[in-house]
Amino acid sequence: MSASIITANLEIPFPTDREAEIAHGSLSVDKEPKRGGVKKTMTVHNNIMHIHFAAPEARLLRVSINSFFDHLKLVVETLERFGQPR
Amino acid sequence: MDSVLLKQGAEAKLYSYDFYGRPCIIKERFKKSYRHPTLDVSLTSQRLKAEVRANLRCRMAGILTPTIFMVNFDNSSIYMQEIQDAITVREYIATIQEQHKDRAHANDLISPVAEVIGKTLSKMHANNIIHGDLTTSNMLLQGDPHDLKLVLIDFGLSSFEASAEDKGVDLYVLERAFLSSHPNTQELFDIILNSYQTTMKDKSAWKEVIAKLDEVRLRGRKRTMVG
Amino acid sequence: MVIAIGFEGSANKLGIGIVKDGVVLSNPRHTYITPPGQGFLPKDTAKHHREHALDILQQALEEANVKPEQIDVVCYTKGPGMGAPLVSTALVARTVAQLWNKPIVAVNHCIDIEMGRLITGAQNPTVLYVSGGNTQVIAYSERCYRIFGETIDIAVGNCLDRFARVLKLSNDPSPGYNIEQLAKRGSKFLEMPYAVKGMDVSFSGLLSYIEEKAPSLIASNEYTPEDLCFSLQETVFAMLIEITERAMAHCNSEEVLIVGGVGCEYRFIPLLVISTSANGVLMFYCLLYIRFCIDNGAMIAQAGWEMYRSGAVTPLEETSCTQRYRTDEVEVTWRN
Repeated sequence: MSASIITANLEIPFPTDREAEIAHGSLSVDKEPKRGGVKKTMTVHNNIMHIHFAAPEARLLRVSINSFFDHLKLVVETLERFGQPR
Repeated sequence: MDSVLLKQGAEAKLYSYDFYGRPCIIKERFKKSYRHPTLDVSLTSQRLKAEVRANLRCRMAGILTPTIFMVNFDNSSIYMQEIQDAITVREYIATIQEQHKDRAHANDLISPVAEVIGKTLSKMHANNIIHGDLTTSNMLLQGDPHDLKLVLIDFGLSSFEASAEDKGVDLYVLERAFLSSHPNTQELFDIILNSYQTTMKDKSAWKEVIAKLDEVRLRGRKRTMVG
Repeated sequence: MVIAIGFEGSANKLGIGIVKDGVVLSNPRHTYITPPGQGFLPKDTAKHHREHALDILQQALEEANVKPEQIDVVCYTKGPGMGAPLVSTALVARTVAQLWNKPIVAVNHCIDIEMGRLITGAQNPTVLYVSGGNTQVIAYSERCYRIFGETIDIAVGNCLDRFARVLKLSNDPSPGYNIEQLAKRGSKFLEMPYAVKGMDVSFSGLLSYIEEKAPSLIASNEYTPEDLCFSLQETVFAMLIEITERAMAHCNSEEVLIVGGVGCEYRFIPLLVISTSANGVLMFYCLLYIRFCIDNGAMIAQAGWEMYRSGAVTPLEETSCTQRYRTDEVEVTWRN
């Protein structure tokens, strides 16, 4: 089973392009741990952030996505609470 | 004859004295009031004994140390031979580095001293003597530095251990002290290790000590520094 | 006039502080406390930080009476520390820095010594850095803080915490604090392994000795838990002071600064003062402001402020976190 790669794609829409850009800036800095073997790529198109995950095992993919959502939630809350009123 | 205070160190006062016509140093350990009295008494007497014992053992192994004339347990004092006409290795290295700004050249000049340090420590460890506080300030060069008469002093933290761990830590302590007292001298320390190795008769013992040295170095590098 | 905000979350304490030209305007903190006998896990600590970061940030801004646009630089702890909590705290710092269009400065936690220097006015102190994961004697020489002595195995905080676990002491507010409270009532001294090696110390032998002996010594009523805490503390602190004293003699330094969580256990201060007056020749003076001893945001803001003034700014894509970090790997560009 180890030869197969499991992937997942997420699309996260933000209210504005700028917020998507900021979230990308904050979230794309930290690298996935090397040992896990999970590959994560993030891009932004307008107000949508695209995240692609590729992992050798479903368990690892789950851990990585969970952790991503924990971080995303924090960034979104920060944007909502400390961003300029639109 | 009266004694004259020469120096106050972190844990002992050094006096110069004339011991029946011989130049003498009195090393008097003083009380540390920040310690619990029981601990203080115990440490002071442990260190006094350790110093005398290791000093003697080194001499038996052919390593130069000051001759001990007398010990006064009541005031924790050791009366020992004053090593005259001597400078510390620390001063020696600093002087050479000052005189010769070209680092490679300075290191070349110092390397015979580094070699004799390695040789001496190897002999010391072969006799299971752990110095416990190896620094370039605790090594003296007697007479003309070119004669390479290396005298070891300050055995207060010494112990007798056969384990590679203790020997590795002893070298680690020296490495740290060496490199912090003399910046950019890694090559010199490598000479010390090299000569330590070539002197060591039991090659597997040498390997074990160096493996421990590497392990202790790594402990520092790898320690997580939480909070 | 420069206003800096600092985010610190390298261990179980989350702190955000605002500093204006060296003056601390606010410095709120929130500590993650675990049940007795348990240490804090990175995952749960990170969760704690995520849950409290925004409230603490708001509190920091309100107490300082500073608006985001007045802030000049956002500083955060890059390391060392636990990975997940560091990242959670850094995420908030990165996000607000982008939102407010402010530069970021990544700070090595060890050099929040700078904060200590500023508060105490010490010129060239020998620093005893003691915390849960770190025990070092540091002095400044040739553009770097150099480590003169350190633990060759576990940190002093770790040693005390683990003994607190053996005794099942509460982790509120910290295991070390509770050891201190018990130690105050102890009186019978038990001699334990005392390991000073040159300017280094070792605590693991001491810890295994007391871990092994404690249950039977207490069960037989030979020693009370109070006596053991007292003896452990006396021994550990005597070792730390001894290596500090050695480093001071080595570097001709006349000041000592104690930084880090364990420095908050008050026993330290009287100890150092005593060692001053009795010693005679070595002139020690220990100046210390307890609140700043603990890992906190203001310390990070201060260190970051100094770095920012000398032109150091960290590009966003380099604002990662490092779990392991050596104090002597950082070149000090802002000090002469």
